Amino acid sequence: MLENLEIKNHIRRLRFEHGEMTQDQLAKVTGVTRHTIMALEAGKYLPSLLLAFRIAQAFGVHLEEVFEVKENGR
Amino acid sequence: MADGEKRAWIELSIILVTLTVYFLFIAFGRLDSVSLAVFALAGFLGFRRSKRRRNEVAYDERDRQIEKQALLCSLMAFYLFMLLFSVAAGMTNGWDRSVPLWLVVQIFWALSLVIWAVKALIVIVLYRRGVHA
Repeated sequence: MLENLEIKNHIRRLRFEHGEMTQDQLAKVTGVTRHTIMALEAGKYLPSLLLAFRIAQAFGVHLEEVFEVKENGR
Repeated sequence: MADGEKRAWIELSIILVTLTVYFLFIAFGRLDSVSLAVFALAGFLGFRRSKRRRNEVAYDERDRQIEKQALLCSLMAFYLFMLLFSVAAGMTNGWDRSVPLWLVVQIFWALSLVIWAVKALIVIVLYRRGVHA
Protein backbone atom coordinates (compact mmCIF):
# COMPACT_ATOMS: atom_id res chain seq x y z
CA MET A 1 0.00 0.00 0.00
CA LEU A 2 2.66 2.49 1.12
CA GLU A 3 4.94 1.39 -1.73
CA ASN A 4 2.48 2.97 -4.15
CA LEU A 5 2.95 6.36 -2.60
CA GLU A 6 5.44 8.88 -3.88
CA ILE A 7 6.48 12.17 -2.32
CA LYS A 8 6.94 15.05 -4.73
CA ASN A 9 8.24 18.46 -3.81
CA HIS A 10 7.92 21.95 -5.17
CA ILE A 11 11.22 23.32 -3.93
CA ARG A 12 12.39 24.48 -7.34
CA ARG A 13 9.18 26.42 -8.00
CA LEU A 14 9.18 27.90 -4.50
CA ARG A 15 12.76 29.04 -4.88
CA PHE A 16 11.90 30.99 -7.99
CA GLU A 17 8.80 32.42 -6.38
CA HIS A 18 10.97 33.67 -3.52
CA GLY A 19 13.07 36.09 -5.48
CA GLU A 20 14.94 33.43 -7.44
CA MET A 21 16.58 32.11 -4.30
CA THR A 22 19.64 30.06 -5.21
CA GLN A 23 20.20 26.48 -4.09
CA ASP A 24 23.18 27.73 -2.14
CA GLN A 25 21.08 30.26 -0.24
CA LEU A 26 18.43 27.67 0.61
CA ALA A 27 21.15 25.25 1.69
CA LYS A 28 22.61 27.83 4.06
CA VAL A 29 19.23 28.70 5.58
CA THR A 30 18.30 25.06 6.14
CA GLY A 31 21.76 23.93 7.27
CA VAL A 32 22.49 21.37 4.58
CA THR A 33 24.84 21.18 1.60
CA ARG A 34 23.90 22.46 -1.86
CA HIS A 35 24.20 18.87 -3.11
CA THR A 36 21.39 17.84 -0.80
CA ILE A 37 19.14 20.59 -2.19
CA MET A 38 20.05 19.41 -5.70
CA ALA A 39 19.23 15.80 -4.76
CA LEU A 40 15.92 16.90 -3.23
CA GLU A 41 14.91 18.79 -6.36
CA ALA A 42 15.88 15.83 -8.53
CA GLY A 43 13.76 13.53 -6.36
CA LYS A 44 16.83 11.52 -5.36
CA TYR A 45 16.48 12.18 -1.67
CA LEU A 46 13.60 12.20 0.77
CA PRO A 47 14.43 14.52 3.67
CA SER A 48 13.96 13.89 7.35
CA LEU A 49 10.91 15.47 8.95
CA LEU A 50 13.11 18.09 10.57
CA LEU A 51 14.67 19.16 7.27
CA ALA A 52 11.24 19.17 5.61
CA PHE A 53 9.98 21.58 8.27
CA ARG A 54 13.10 23.74 7.92
CA ILE A 55 12.56 24.02 4.17
CA ALA A 56 8.91 24.97 4.63
CA GLN A 57 9.97 27.52 7.25
CA ALA A 58 12.57 28.97 4.89
CA PHE A 59 9.82 29.68 2.35
CA GLY A 60 7.34 30.75 5.03
CA VAL A 61 4.75 28.21 3.90
CA HIS A 62 3.07 25.09 5.30
CA LEU A 63 4.71 21.70 4.84
CA GLU A 64 1.99 20.53 2.44
CA GLU A 65 2.79 23.39 0.11
CA VAL A 66 6.34 22.10 -0.29
CA PHE A 67 5.75 18.36 -0.23
CA GLU A 68 2.87 16.41 -1.65
CA VAL A 69 2.05 12.72 -1.53
CA LYS A 70 0.97 11.18 -4.80
CA GLU A 71 -0.06 7.69 -5.73
CA ASN A 72 2.31 6.08 -8.21
CA GLY A 73 1.10 6.03 -11.78
CA ARG A 74 -1.45 8.79 -11.26
CA MET B 1 30.10 16.19 -6.98
CA ALA B 2 29.41 15.98 -3.23
CA ASP B 3 32.35 15.88 -0.84
CA GLY B 4 31.41 12.40 0.33
CA GLU B 5 31.42 11.08 -3.24
CA LYS B 6 34.79 12.70 -3.97
CA ARG B 7 36.14 11.15 -0.79
CA ALA B 8 34.82 7.71 -1.86
CA TRP B 9 36.56 8.01 -5.26
CA ILE B 10 39.85 8.92 -3.55
CA GLU B 11 39.50 5.99 -1.14
CA LEU B 12 38.74 3.63 -4.00
CA SER B 13 41.81 4.84 -5.92
CA ILE B 14 44.11 4.39 -2.90
CA ILE B 15 42.76 0.88 -2.29
CA LEU B 16 43.14 -0.09 -5.95
CA VAL B 17 46.74 1.17 -6.02
CA THR B 18 47.55 -0.67 -2.77
CA LEU B 19 46.00 -3.94 -3.91
CA THR B 20 47.62 -3.68 -7.35
CA VAL B 21 51.09 -3.20 -5.80
CA TYR B 22 50.37 -6.05 -3.37
CA PHE B 23 49.43 -8.46 -6.15
CA LEU B 24 52.46 -7.33 -8.19
CA PHE B 25 54.64 -8.31 -5.21
CA ILE B 26 52.94 -11.70 -5.12
CA ALA B 27 53.30 -12.07 -8.91
CA PHE B 28 57.05 -11.50 -8.51
CA GLY B 29 57.25 -14.19 -5.85
CA ARG B 30 57.32 -11.99 -2.75
CA LEU B 31 54.46 -13.47 -0.76
CA ASP B 32 56.27 -13.16 2.57
CA SER B 33 56.73 -10.67 5.37
CA VAL B 34 58.08 -8.11 2.84
CA SER B 35 54.78 -7.83 0.95
CA LEU B 36 53.17 -6.85 4.24
CA ALA B 37 54.89 -3.46 3.94
CA VAL B 38 52.75 -2.66 0.91
CA PHE B 39 49.79 -2.08 3.19
CA ALA B 40 51.51 1.02 4.53
CA LEU B 41 50.10 2.67 1.37
CA ALA B 42 46.68 2.27 2.91
CA GLY B 43 47.77 4.90 5.43
CA PHE B 44 46.84 7.51 2.80
CA LEU B 45 43.22 6.65 3.57
CA GLY B 46 43.66 8.60 6.77
CA PHE B 47 44.34 11.93 5.05
CA ARG B 48 41.41 14.28 4.88
CA ARG B 49 41.40 17.59 3.11
CA SER B 50 38.57 20.04 2.89
CA LYS B 51 38.35 23.26 0.91
CA ARG B 52 35.21 24.37 2.71
CA ARG B 53 34.88 27.98 3.72
CA ARG B 54 33.76 29.08 7.14
CA ASN B 55 29.99 28.84 7.80
CA GLU B 56 29.58 26.38 4.95
CA VAL B 57 27.97 23.05 5.76
CA ALA B 58 30.28 20.20 4.78
CA TYR B 59 28.33 17.22 6.00
CA ASP B 60 24.59 16.84 6.51
CA GLU B 61 21.84 14.29 7.12
CA ARG B 62 22.02 12.92 3.55
CA ASP B 63 25.75 12.27 3.86
CA ARG B 64 25.17 10.60 7.23
CA GLN B 65 22.39 8.45 5.77
CA ILE B 66 24.58 7.33 2.87
CA GLU B 67 27.52 6.65 5.18
CA LYS B 68 25.31 4.60 7.50
CA GLN B 69 23.82 2.49 4.71
CA ALA B 70 27.22 1.89 3.12
CA LEU B 71 28.71 0.91 6.48
CA LEU B 72 25.90 -1.55 7.11
CA CYS B 73 26.32 -3.14 3.66
CA SER B 74 30.09 -3.35 4.05
CA LEU B 75 29.73 -5.02 7.46
CA MET B 76 27.46 -7.62 5.90
CA ALA B 77 30.01 -8.10 3.11
CA PHE B 78 32.76 -8.45 5.74
CA TYR B 79 30.78 -11.14 7.55
CA LEU B 80 30.11 -12.98 4.31
CA PHE B 81 33.77 -12.82 3.17
CA MET B 82 35.01 -13.96 6.60
CA LEU B 83 32.58 -16.86 6.63
CA LEU B 84 33.47 -17.99 3.11
CA PHE B 85 37.18 -17.52 3.70
CA SER B 86 37.20 -19.39 7.04
CA VAL B 87 35.28 -22.35 5.67
CA ALA B 88 37.29 -22.48 2.42
CA ALA B 89 40.65 -22.19 4.23
CA GLY B 90 39.76 -24.86 6.77
CA MET B 91 38.29 -27.23 4.22
CA THR B 92 41.15 -27.00 1.73
CA ASN B 93 44.14 -26.95 4.12
CA GLY B 94 42.82 -28.85 7.11
CA TRP B 95 41.62 -27.27 10.36
CA ASP B 96 44.77 -28.14 12.36
CA ARG B 97 47.30 -26.63 9.99
CA SER B 98 49.37 -23.72 11.24
CA VAL B 99 50.30 -20.73 9.07
CA PRO B 100 52.88 -17.95 9.54
CA LEU B 101 51.67 -14.88 11.38
CA TRP B 102 52.59 -12.57 8.48
CA LEU B 103 50.19 -14.49 6.27
CA VAL B 104 47.33 -14.07 8.74
CA VAL B 105 48.08 -10.34 9.02
CA GLN B 106 48.26 -9.94 5.24
CA ILE B 107 44.97 -11.73 4.75
CA PHE B 108 43.42 -9.48 7.39
CA TRP B 109 44.75 -6.35 5.63
CA ALA B 110 43.72 -7.48 2.16
CA LEU B 111 40.24 -8.37 3.40
CA SER B 112 39.88 -5.04 5.20
CA LEU B 113 40.80 -3.16 2.04
CA VAL B 114 38.35 -5.16 -0.05
CA ILE B 115 35.59 -4.35 2.44
CA TRP B 116 36.63 -0.68 2.46
CA ALA B 117 36.42 -0.71 -1.34
CA VAL B 118 32.94 -2.23 -1.15
CA LYS B 119 31.92 0.61 1.19
CA ALA B 120 33.36 3.27 -1.14
CA LEU B 121 31.55 1.71 -4.10
CA ILE B 122 28.24 1.67 -2.24
CA VAL B 123 28.73 5.34 -1.25
CA ILE B 124 29.29 6.28 -4.91
CA VAL B 125 26.23 4.30 -6.03
CA LEU B 126 24.02 5.86 -3.33
CA TYR B 127 25.13 9.40 -4.19
CA ARG B 128 24.24 8.76 -7.83
CA ARG B 129 21.12 6.64 -7.44
CA GLY B 130 19.67 8.46 -4.43
CA VAL B 131 18.85 7.62 -0.85
CA HIS B 132 15.90 8.23 1.42
CA ALA B 133 15.95 9.24 5.09
